[in-house]
Amino acid sequence: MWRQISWAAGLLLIFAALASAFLSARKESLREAPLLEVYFAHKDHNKVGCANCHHNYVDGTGRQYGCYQCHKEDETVNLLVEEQFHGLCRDCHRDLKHMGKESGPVRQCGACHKPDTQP
Amino acid sequence: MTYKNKKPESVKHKTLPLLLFFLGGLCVYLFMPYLSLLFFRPMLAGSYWDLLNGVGFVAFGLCIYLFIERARPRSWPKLKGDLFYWWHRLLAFALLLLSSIHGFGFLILEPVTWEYLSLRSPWYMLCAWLAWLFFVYLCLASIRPLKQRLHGGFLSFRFSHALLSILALVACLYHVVAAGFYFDRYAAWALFSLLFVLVVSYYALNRLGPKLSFSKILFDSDSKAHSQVGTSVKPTLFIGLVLLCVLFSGGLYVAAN
Repeated sequence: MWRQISWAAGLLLIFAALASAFLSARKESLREAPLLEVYFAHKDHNKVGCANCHHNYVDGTGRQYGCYQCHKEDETVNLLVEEQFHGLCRDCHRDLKHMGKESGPVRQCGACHKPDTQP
Repeated sequence: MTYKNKKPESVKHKTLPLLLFFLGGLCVYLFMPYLSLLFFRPMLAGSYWDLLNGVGFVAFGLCIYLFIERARPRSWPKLKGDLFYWWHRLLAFALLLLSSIHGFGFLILEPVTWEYLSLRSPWYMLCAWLAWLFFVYLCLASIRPLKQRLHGGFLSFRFSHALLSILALVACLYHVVAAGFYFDRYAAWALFSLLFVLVVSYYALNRLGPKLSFSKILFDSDSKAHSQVGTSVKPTLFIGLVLLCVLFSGGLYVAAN
């Protein structure tokens, strides 16, 4: 009986140690990995309100023009880059498509993640 | 003609239409959820996305089915012994093939998805890869020479098989739901909940209450269960299931949105 309990406890400890190492490695990877290239043309988005993306100008979170200064360097949000940027672009494109309106890519990764050649 | 000579013939005649009905039902169960989701909310993202996600949904359906089937021998059709292992293993390898096509298809057609092989990929993708690794292990460990080498005794195999299967199923479920590609409309949640409640009820009734077995009620007219479930019980069961589905799907929809 005691042998089984000690085996279970040992396995649990090993699992906890592995999980902890994995979580810290994941956080490190999320913070240090460079962002993927994203193509974005302002002229295609002139019907979208500026503050929809440049929220920092209205909610007082900073005055930086680019997104990455905060979303990559601020430790409170830089683990959420994938979720936040996909939520902003992809969900908007998807909703427009469902309304039968013209919109950008929804699923095709390579259609957005390519060199940004437009202002 | 003796009784012994007569029996196999009658069984054969009775079994073939039921077997065809079962296979047809299995195909409907595997394909209908995804086709219904496409009907409610098309992906609009290119044919290969729809195709590969459809393959993924069929694989997920198979994963759930392998659990229901484990309710043997009370479930229908009655699969026993080597026939059960053959059928179970066949479907499990089909599941592995389909999940591989789903995952590696995206890696080939969408090179950016290689990013999802790293530690920094979203949790729902990490869960998917973990589930796929479990599938590989579960399938390989079920081959007899490997099974004996990896596990030795039957109990060790059974415990690890059950544990990894449950973990793989939960990881797949999280992958499907958290990806958020389909489950953002109430209709999708309602459909999912209906399937979930039916599957759990089927499994639980088959495992826990042989007298209430769905298979006996539906298919075995000679059994007591068939005659005992009277006209007053059936509407109550039906209303209960509908209410359960509405509550479950509503709760999930509110929680997810």
